[in-house]
Amino acid sequence: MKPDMEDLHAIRRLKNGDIGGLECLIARHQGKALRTAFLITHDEPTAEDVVQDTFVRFYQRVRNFDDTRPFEPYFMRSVVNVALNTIEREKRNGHSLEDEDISGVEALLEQAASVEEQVEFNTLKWQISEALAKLHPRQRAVIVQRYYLEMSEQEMSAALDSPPGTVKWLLNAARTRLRSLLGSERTAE
Amino acid sequence: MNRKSYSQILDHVARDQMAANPDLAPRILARIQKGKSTTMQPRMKVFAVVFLLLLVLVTGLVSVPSVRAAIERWIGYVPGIGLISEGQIRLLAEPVSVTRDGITLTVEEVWAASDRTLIQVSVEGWPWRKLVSDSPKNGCLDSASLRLPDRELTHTQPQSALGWATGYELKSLYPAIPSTVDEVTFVMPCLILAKPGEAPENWELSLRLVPAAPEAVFPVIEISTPVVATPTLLPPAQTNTSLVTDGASLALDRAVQMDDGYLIYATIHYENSGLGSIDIPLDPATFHLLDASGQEVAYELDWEATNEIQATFVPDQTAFAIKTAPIQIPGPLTLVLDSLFASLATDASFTFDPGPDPQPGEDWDLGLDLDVGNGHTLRVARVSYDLTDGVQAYLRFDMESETGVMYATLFDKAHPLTGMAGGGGGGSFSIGPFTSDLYYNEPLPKGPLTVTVTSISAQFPGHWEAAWTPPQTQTLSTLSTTIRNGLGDN
Repeated sequence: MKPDMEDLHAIRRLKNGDIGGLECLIARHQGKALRTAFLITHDEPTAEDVVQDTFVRFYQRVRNFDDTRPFEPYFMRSVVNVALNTIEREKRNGHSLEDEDISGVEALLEQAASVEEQVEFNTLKWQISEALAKLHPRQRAVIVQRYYLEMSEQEMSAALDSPPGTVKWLLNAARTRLRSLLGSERTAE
Repeated sequence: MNRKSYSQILDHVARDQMAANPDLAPRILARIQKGKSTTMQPRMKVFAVVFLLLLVLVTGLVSVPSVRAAIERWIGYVPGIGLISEGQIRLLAEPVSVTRDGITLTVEEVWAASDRTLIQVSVEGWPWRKLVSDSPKNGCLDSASLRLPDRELTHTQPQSALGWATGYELKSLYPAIPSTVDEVTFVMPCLILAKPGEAPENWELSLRLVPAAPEAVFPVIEISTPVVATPTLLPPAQTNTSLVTDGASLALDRAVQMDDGYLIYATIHYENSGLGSIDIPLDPATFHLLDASGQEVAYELDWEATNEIQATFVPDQTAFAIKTAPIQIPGPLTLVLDSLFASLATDASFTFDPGPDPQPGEDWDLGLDLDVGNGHTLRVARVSYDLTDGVQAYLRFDMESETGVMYATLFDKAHPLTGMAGGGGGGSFSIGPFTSDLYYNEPLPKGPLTVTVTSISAQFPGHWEAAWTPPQTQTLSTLSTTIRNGLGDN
């Protein structure tokens, strides 16, 4: 993938001492970055902190950034990692992955993908949000990377610094978990 | 309704759950500003576009007559002020500050040349950003002035600006201070956006100017290399873009020998082409600097120098400056450009019908192939309708092109628009799918809409190069002539 020329332009401005380049990058990417962070943290102020941290870190290291590579995938991977680190640092989640009864949002996403009615779509969106909230943050990160940021399993492996087998396991776990959550909610209805 | 991607669904989920769509820029810039003394380079001075636009647009274009247009020869380059034509440069002896009611005004730097004066000031302790949304009409936007013994220099032009949560920094251009005057008073009537009585007013600071050390001025070498424009290569496929790029050429204008490389000024001329504008070349894949052995020389665009020369708009020219790495191999340096990113006016249109009752979230597959002229085609694949914030409706057109169009500007001549935007996909200036938006006030106009493609941006392949031999490899006689020419002695 080639770098986006507007991003490249902004990064070169920034490397050259023009802080306006950073403002351009913020304007272009903060929306998606915030949504990415929110899907993982499920907390709006935390998501804002995560995105701020990620931009500040990028600013501090911009001179080492290889600007022949596309910015957005790199930056969104950073957002995911900062979000995970933030959550782990704050110890908002006490349980371990092994304790999770894992399952899948995938089924909900699949339903939502082809639903025709707006009302049903809205219901599914709510269910997806609820189901995501019940996942471990690391599992949410996997869902976000695979289905929101549309990263390949290989890219996810590199981004999460986990072997491909772990990524596959995490994905399967997330799918199973979400499927089971969906099943129980449907049963309850 | 068409099938949605998982990514789109998760995007909706996040948007639904998030209460606000905050602008994080002020907070991020404030954090950076706090750590500026330890993390920022001295030349990390700035170009906060929003702030600058605010100043320029709201105050109107108070302007000093352009200095660049009137000057044809430069004798030196001073980091901070740029190219200078003659005379002695003077600098502020030392930064000067005053603090009142917890607000500190500092004149950080002054560069006084024979034709202009640049002053950099900062204000800390004034939360101006909070006031921006609070109707800036009522707040102060008066410019600061320089009081001389016999008069006041009042015309200023913001050159660059940086704002953070609790302050701002401005670099402004003033007329020249006479060489006989070494002491001036900086007079600032009020803080930006402050209402009367809200903050201390009538700030005054005494400034003392001292001559700059000779090594602060780097020599300029005017390059007499004629414009070199090799014949344009035919672009891929069936396009006939050579018709419009034939008239474009590349020239090297001047170079500045810095301590660690050269600052090279170049211009793309397109007076005789059919192009609407040409971007500054930024793509390292198509823009190369080669040394005498044909090896790539590292370079980066110098935005400070580029901004300075672009301050004066010259039609049909794109001027820019690059800073090179140290040159290791004696011999000519060659700037090679293998394509131009340019815009071209078009007048193609298409019609689509959103139906009698379009709903936000709805989209339509169009699959329209459009001939936009000059051999270029566009495929309008899909249109989606949504709301931004419940007030504006927008139509997003997903487009792609097999002839290298990277972006298209759309317009609806029949209905009032509240805005236009674009991007997405691979980005508006890279090859790949892209989007272009039309914004309307709610509700979306009913019935068939005719959309006009008013311009396209595309990569126009070709080959342009210009060469120059740095002086260390020239003969002594050539070198002395070059330097004399650069100093304007002949």
